[in-house]
Amino acid sequence: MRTLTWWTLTFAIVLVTSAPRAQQGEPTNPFQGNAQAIGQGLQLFRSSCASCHGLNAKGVRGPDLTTGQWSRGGTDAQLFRTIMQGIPGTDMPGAQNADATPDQVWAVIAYLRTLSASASAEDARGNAQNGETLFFGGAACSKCHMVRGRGGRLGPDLTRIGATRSRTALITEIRTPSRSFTDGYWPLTVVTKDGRRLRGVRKNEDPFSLQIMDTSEKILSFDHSDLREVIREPRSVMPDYNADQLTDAELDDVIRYLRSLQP
Amino acid sequence: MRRRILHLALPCVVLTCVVGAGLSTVLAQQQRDPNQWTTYSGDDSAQRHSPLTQITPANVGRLAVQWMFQTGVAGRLEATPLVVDGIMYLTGPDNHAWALDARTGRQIWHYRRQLPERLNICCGRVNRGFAIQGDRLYMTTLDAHLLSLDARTGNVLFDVEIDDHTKSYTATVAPLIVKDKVIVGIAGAEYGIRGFIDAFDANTGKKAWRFWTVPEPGQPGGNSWSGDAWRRGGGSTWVTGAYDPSLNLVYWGTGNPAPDSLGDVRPGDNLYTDSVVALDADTGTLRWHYQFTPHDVHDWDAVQVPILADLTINGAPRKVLMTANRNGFFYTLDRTNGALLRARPFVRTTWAQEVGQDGKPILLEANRIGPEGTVTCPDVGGGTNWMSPSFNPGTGLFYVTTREVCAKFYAFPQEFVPGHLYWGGAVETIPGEPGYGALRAIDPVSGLVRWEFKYPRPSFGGTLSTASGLVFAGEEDGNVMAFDAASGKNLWRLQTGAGLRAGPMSFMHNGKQYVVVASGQTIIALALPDGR
Repeated sequence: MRTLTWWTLTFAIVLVTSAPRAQQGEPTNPFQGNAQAIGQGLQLFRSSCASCHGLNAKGVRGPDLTTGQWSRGGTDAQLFRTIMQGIPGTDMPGAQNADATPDQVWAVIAYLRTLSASASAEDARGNAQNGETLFFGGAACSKCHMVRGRGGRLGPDLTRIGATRSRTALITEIRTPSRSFTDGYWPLTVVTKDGRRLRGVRKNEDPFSLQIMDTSEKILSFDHSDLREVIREPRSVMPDYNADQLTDAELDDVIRYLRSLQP
Repeated sequence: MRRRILHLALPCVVLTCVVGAGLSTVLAQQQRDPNQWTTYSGDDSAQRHSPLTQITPANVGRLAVQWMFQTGVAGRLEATPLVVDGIMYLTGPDNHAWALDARTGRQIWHYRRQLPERLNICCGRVNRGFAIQGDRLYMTTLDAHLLSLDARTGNVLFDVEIDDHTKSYTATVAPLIVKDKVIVGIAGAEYGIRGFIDAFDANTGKKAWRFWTVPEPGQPGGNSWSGDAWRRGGGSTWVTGAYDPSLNLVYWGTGNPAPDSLGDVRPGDNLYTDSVVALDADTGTLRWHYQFTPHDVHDWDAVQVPILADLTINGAPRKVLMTANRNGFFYTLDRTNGALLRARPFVRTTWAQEVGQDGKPILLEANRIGPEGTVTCPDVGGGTNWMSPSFNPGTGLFYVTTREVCAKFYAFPQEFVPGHLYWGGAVETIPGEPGYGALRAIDPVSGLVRWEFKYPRPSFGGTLSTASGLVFAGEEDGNVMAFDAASGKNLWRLQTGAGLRAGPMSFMHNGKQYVVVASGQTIIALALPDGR
């Protein structure tokens, strides 16, 4: 019967620093170590979370969930809150919006507890200070991306990106940004009836109207009936940062910088 | 603008019994009062076609909001309201229900059910609406009960258990009244229930009959299962069916087998999952069945509303049943015996080449899934889903909201544990391929798509046809729209601010025709400002 459910949504759990530390009086997982619940959590994870976190939970667009480190807190209660309520300002939706039950969320947490391992040595690569210099300088990331209020608007704000993406996902998105697009940033070109061509990213669209931000960061609204054509671009506005434009070492620096930003 | 005539170059089956087109008589409207809306799909034929003609292609551009009713209840409305004698009856999430003044939208009463704290519900705490007979209302509940409410007060007249919610049975379906019986379906296949269709006495709530959608060994169809897989074989029945009084047959769609993706544990066709069943209305005896997706591994429930009509095919009148299936094929069946008359894809399908002469799909490699994953179209949401289609006997076209999306399907081993989700697999979206939606008009004789209107996103809004030649539809980005039924030209639209997930309906009160839609948590009544 599955239709639109929280299982068909994707939800992320955010990694990074704090170790689990239960607060007095906080709820704890009633299914911790329960083999049946862990199996249930595995199924739920595969069906609901894998699109962002990967079938092995090692991270795709969402972060790696096997490190045992969680940016929004790693106690049972904190994880429960993160999954159930989501994280505002990120791609992580709340499971509550799709009618998830508390038992289902606890089962997922029980499963996630079986995955924890030490943080990857790769996370320690790079120099954050060099990365910041590249971000706002030579690599020109800030031309389109903002961090803590500095930078451009055409691309997503990256203040929290290091906490909500795995290192692997960040590498993929920097090296091959056209592989997939986030809602609000689909590249397109609109052609007006008088032949003007405007390139930008889609902010919203319905069958009758289209809202974009053009490359000069202007918000523009069109009726489809006033446009000659809307070209869905296969290539991102962002260039591919291949090794000629950003060496592997520089890439490590930029990623280290992004992952050093604490929400 | 985004409309164009389609002649999709899709594979199809053309059976010898259907050559040439034609459309003739309208299925009898079962003494329907055109001013009322008394059942989920408008009438027993489930055409969701209003005989009202005050709102026309010529004046629909002046359609305006008359009132809105904010339910104030979290969750989304998927119900079609009923209207009888100027009172609207509506159900909502978590088994809230209301009676409203249909002229003003003002509340008459509000019912709320106390639900158990722990319920196993896979797919939303929704409800799809009331049934009504006389001054009694009927609704199903998330804890798998059938309630009868007093239409004037909302007081409970009877409350009977359909089945045990602690065994993961739940109910969201709008009941169907057939003579003195209330017919209901059940949900819970994702938890490994064994599905059924039940009939209850409308006055007493006493069980009249049950038809198991998954037969036991030794029963007809029982050999399409292996071992004891039938005990948890799924086959939910969560969307309302149709009824033909001339044949005394109830037609009802059935859902996916369980586990959804792991077909290896249930070898066989898994009857009567993903089928339409024709049942004797008095006894529940199976007269015929047609299985759309034998041994489904993609969760392609066949619960879509079956629409009944009388068509002329090859110069001969035929009693048909039409359905656009979640598996991506459109089917026209002879509803007297279940014979296949036409099957043709209405969206991109990669799992079957065509439907063969024997009525079974000819499978392609993309139908096979395993732990490595397989990209298949349509996705788990299907070519369409629970959203109501409609049929206009005048144009002879079937109107349905369609979804063009593919997905990567996986199957994994999983043990069955009572009370736990039992899917045996996973589904991933495909990066960079979000898909899109479209309202499509299908000729049920040829199976060809005659026109379409594209939506940027896959949508779940239902449709309504009117005798004046209009189609109303809703989409995921909040627009409710009116189209010319013959050409597909968009004639009117309103941005409501929330996705539409229910079927529109229409009624007449005090000389004014209303069209009603559910948007998010709000009911919106539309009419011409002066009723003309």
